[in-house]
Amino acid sequence: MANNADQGDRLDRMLAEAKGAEPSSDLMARVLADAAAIQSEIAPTQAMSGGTQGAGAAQAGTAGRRRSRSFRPAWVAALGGWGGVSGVTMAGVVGLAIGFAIPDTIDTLSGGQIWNLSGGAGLTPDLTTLAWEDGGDV
Amino acid sequence: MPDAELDGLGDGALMVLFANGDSAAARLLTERLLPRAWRHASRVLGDPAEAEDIAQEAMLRLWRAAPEWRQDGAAQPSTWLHRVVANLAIDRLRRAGRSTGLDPEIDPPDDAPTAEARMIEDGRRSALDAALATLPERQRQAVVLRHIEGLANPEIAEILGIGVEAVESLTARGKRALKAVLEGQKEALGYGE
Repeated sequence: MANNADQGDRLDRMLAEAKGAEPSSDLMARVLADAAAIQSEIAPTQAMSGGTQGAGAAQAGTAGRRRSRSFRPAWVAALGGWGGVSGVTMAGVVGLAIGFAIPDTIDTLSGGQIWNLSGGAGLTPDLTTLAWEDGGDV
Repeated sequence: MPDAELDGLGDGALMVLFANGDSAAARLLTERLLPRAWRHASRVLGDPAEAEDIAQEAMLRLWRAAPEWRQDGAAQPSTWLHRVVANLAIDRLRRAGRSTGLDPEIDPPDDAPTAEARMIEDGRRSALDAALATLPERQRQAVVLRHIEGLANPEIAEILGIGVEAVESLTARGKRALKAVLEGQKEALGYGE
């Protein structure tokens, strides 16, 4: 019985020693080189810059979403992404609707400036009025 | 993202960051997972050079899987990686004709003299590899994953594609077989009185 216990202890010690084994630095380097090569294929822009996407990207889901971002035009990015574009679009639509629905109220709120800019002849400001305003001799 | 924040992320989140081109995530995943893959392959194959090939190939497959990886998915990268290592190692053993078969029954240590010769030549680690090599494939994989990598039985069951009870049986019989192989090798292993 004691002999079995000794054998078990020896085996446990050998197994414990095997836990501490580490791969060579050369293998680590090869694996990291493979990783860089794969990243340059699947995420060329980010991999070249070596940048990180942050925790938000980690929670974003699959790389399919990442790839779609690479086709996003710069002006969309400047507006804060597609969410920003939709916000600007919605603001324009609401403004247009208000202008058509209650033009008199808008004119009152503006102190009559819209009517004046239009030369008192319509809803659309007359740009020639603006052009001649400061230099009547031009 | 600072390294300290990356350290706090799970392997699944790091996989997503990797797919987004984060080189720091690649480094951290390599540091976490490569040693496990290499130890697994090394103990199952008993050949350091082959183990390096297998570990590198498994990591390469992990990188390629990253774009489709779902952070909220059920699979853990480490479990997935061990499964790949297990399959690659079995393929390698079978091609080399070194497989001892899938029969989980304990094989008698007929090659004990060979194991003893390797013990003397290469020391304890080689002795362990030699002893492990006498085990049937799945017993060997189960013992390595349980007693060297310290994985829980349910995770081993997932890696090997068998039931938890089968894992318990394999690891118990595997340890008994290792003890039998190593019996009487105290002095050769430096454990003499």
